[in-house]
Amino acid sequence: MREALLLFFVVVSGTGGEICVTRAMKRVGEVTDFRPLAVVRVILRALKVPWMWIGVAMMALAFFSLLAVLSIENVSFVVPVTALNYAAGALGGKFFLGERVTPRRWAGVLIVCIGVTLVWLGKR
Amino acid sequence: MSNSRFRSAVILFSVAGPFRILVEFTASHKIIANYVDFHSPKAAQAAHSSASFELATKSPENRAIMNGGVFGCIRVHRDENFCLSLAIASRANSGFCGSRLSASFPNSGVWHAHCVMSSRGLHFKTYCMLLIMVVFAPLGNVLLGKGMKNVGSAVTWAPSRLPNIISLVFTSGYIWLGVASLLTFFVAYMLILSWADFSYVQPASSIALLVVALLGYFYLGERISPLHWAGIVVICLGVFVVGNTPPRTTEVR
Repeated sequence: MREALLLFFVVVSGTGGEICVTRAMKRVGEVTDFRPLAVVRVILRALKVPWMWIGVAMMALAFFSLLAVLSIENVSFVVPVTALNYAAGALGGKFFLGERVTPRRWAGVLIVCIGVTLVWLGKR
Repeated sequence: MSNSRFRSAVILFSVAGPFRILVEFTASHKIIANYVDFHSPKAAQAAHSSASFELATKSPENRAIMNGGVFGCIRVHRDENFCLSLAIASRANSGFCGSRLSASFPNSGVWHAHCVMSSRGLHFKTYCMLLIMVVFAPLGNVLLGKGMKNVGSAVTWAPSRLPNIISLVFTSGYIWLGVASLLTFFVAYMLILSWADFSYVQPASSIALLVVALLGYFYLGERISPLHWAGIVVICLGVFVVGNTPPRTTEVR
């Protein structure tokens, strides 16, 4: 039961964080210079966008939940289950961002859920 | 329009998105040059200030972005060549691919600049970043898993033991190596998201799920049942189906 709760945090908080970080990086603009100093400058610029901080906080919560769940379960079980991110992403897009989720996308999400179920059943 | 002192003024169109651009200059629909000479930077400035732009795109939404989003500047290079950069402010959006930007400069003679946007040159950069993501994310997870197994199961974590557990976590070499791997992944991920769509990056990085299972099996010696393997393959399949859907669903019709 505890691992299910922790996995819930990993998925929901992780997806929320990714969406926030995407928003922040789109505001920063395309990165064309990959010299270390320029990359550091991009990171500093990204840190000035509030969305980045919200995203990082959510990702941190997801990270510590991941650590806790990794102490209970195998990596090859935990990481595939985090693919539920795609389901969370589709639901989040529909209900929070007003995106129109295509039937094909729902089908993909359904296949992911079936896969996660198989992984869960095949655990032992 | 030619002058020996200020030769080969290059006009660059740059787009804030995943596009490389080909520019051709034409007069009455005939290509005259790949570059244009100005008499002086002042002439270039005059050309620029009177320039007008037009973008032919497939999607009306993109045209709306273009109308308010074109701006430019002139840079004079040390060798007295100068270039006129016209930047288009836009979101990274595949809808721009194949569209045509034209500019006309009434004060500098009868010529126009056209460019067709293509995604050439972008793929290499994208694939490099994806490779880094697909290697370092699973490696990080596996190292974290190995580290946490030494700390002990969270099922038996009592609140009073929490400080002890936290110190165990933060003194584990595996955890720090895992964190370093995940940070490498995260930087690559941030960089790629600045030009590629989230819904492109997420499915492409789903290979990482298979890599994790392989590393768990061969490196950590985890036992994975056939049903478990099947589940992982089905998940990857599902992620690809998700990824084959249009990246934008909020388009104006």
